[in-house]
Amino acid sequence: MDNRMKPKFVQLLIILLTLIMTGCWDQKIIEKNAFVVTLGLESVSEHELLFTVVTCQFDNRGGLRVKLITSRGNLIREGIRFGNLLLGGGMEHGKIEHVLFSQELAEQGIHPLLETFVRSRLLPLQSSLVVVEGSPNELLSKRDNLQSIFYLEQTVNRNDDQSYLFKTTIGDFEIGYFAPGIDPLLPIIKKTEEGIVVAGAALFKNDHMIGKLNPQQTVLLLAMMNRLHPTELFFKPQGIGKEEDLKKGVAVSISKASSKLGLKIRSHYPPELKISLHFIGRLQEYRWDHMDDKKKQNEMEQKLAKEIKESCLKLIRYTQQIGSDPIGFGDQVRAKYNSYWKLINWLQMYRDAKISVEVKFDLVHYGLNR
Amino acid sequence: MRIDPTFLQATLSFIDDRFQECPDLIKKKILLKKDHEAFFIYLDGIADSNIIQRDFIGPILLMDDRELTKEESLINLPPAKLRFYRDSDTVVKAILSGEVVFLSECIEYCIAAGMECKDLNFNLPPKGEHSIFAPSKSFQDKLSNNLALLRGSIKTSHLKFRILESETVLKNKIAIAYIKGIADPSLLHEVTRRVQAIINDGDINGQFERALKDFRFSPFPEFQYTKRSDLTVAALYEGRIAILREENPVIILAPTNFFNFFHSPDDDHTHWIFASGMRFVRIIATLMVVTLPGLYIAFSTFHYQFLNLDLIITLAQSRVKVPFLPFVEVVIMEIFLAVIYELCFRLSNNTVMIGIIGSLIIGGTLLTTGMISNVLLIISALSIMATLLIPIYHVETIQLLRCQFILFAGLLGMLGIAISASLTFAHLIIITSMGQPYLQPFIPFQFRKALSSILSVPYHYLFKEKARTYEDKDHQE
Repeated sequence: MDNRMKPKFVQLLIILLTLIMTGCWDQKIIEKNAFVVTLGLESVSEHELLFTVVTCQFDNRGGLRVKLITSRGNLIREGIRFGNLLLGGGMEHGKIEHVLFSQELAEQGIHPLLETFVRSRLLPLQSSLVVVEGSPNELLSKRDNLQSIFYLEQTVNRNDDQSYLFKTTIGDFEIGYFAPGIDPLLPIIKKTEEGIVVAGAALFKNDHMIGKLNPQQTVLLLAMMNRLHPTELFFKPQGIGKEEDLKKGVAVSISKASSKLGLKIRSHYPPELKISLHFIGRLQEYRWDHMDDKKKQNEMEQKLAKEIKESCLKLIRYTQQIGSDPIGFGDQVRAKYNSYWKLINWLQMYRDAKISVEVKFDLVHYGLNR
Repeated sequence: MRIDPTFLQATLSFIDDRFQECPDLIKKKILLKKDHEAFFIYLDGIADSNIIQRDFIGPILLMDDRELTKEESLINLPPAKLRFYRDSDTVVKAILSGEVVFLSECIEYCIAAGMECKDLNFNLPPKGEHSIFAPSKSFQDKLSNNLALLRGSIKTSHLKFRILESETVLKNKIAIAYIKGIADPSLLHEVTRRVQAIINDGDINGQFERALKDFRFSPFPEFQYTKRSDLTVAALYEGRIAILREENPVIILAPTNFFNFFHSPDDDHTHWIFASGMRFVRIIATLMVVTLPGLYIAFSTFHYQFLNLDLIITLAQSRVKVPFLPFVEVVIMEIFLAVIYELCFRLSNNTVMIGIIGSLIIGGTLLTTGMISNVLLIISALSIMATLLIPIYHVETIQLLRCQFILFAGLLGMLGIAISASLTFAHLIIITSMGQPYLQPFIPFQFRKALSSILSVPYHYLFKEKARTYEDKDHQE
């Protein structure tokens, strides 16, 4: 290196280091800290929140200790500080996997509570949000052992893979909250005698929970949102199976689903929206029948399509009624017809919008191996 | 008897022309009866001079002019393979294939006898450069033998040796080998200039490489070192230059680039897909050796957020008993590994034994007493195994780089690793080997060469490349 360049290079290095290094000096030795894994929030009175914090830490023999800390306060930071006081400091929040809200709290609005996650660089925006039917404290205190850290995570992840639940992180929720034409969607779980069960999805208007869907409806909603993973659906279409049979209905696994949205806009009139759905599936369970017959196959496909169409229409009508737009119709209108969007009150127009659904169902496998 | 020197002179001038800068060509002049000039021409080292003297030169000296012109009397000469050539080009080929050629004014053809040297003890496998499929001829201490080995492998008069001798009393000798038409003349000039400057100072073996380097403070080797003849031959065909020293079996190949260190002699002898795959493995192994301990420090000291919760639990449980910070723990382990590595070098006969004692007994004890964590032990073991995939003269550079990454990671975590990687990369861009960029053919980018340095490309592709270089350069000449 040129001799004149050397001092300049050293100066540049020092300046860069001091500028970039902010926050990099704090050592956080893994085994010397306790990690907050799950955070549960519920309201106990009008002015007070109940915090349930699940932490894991390590003893001198390498054992994992899971601890449930409960405290009361108004700020999330207060709940965390209590944990610090109890454990003698060293509590790390960077690995919070789930934040659970009670349904009552979700109905009151959760955006103000998430503010600290967005503000602090040490709290993770990747934590997933879950609504709990009942009390998060009761749900978390059910299994106070090693399993409780992983059990919830596995339940959420596996159901997300099967599309019975839609995993939403804090980042996703905030985007849904701030975007004008789309509303966020959170999963709902509940505690039963057997364990934790997925109860469906919570519909939101801004940050207030205003409605609920069951797991089957969640699957159809995700199909309309173009976010469906391969999953299994159960139907009891009219006219299939004999009424007196104990065994009724059809089980179909969906290997692929695609959705397309068509818009028709006239000034000062509610928009006309059309969702075209295409499912590709395999027949998994039915009754003994002549399904190798092409005519029978077509009949089955049409009946399944009809069943799905009716369910989807019912679901859309429900979302229109409560005023939640998780599919993001508004977002599409805003993107494609912005001048129209500026003239209207979308919530009103959405309620009056004419939404039609067209479903095509292709059965690629019906049980015959040639 | 008709005396016509035309054939002799034409052939001699043709041979002189083709064998310029070939000091291994022996041209023995004799005077036959009646002072007729004659020559015995052969290549030293590949033709056996003792047998030539006994079975070819001796009997011919006893013959008179008349006998030499008669084929009937010539067939009684002792050599089994006796041929008569009338074409200069064939004469050159015969010399290159180890035959000795007799030319005289009295005859209008040349007499050639096959007298290849058979007892050169080159077939010892080179130590430290093991391979399974590649031919394992290794160089020896004697310079003339090494030149003969190269001449035997590259049978063309384009292979030239430039012998440089020091002007001091030591009279040290160095040979620069290259293939005319492939090697860059300006590069050859530069190498010759530098080597001449060094040997004039009387230093050949001690500080030779250090004096030859472009960047004396750079830890990266600017030359490739080998004892293998096949590697040297391949390098010569690529247009590189080999420097052979008297009393030293290690050949210096220049210029070299960063990607040469990931090539193995076996690459050209296995299927190109597997050979390319192994090159990727070597690159990944190098990255692992350099970065793994640094990443371990960064993750376990600064950035637990990077890790999955399951991994955090595994890592924390393995570290709970360890009384040191991860950085100190890694430094202890590095010192321990460096001691074992040095021991293996010094006591080369007991390498396996030291490996077993080092890894099992001391490593196990360190683990059970809680001095180090088992995750670090896995990382160190992986690093050691990966080190074995890297050429031996490159290992120390890699270890130094690893220390640099450990220091930076201990200071600044991932940011330190990023800074360390940037500094290393910046340094690699700056340095050159004999004036050639160290990161070529990627910086500056040459698509075909870059492809063949990362992948072990199929032979027809490779030969097309080589043949074209040859023809183009010949054409230019």
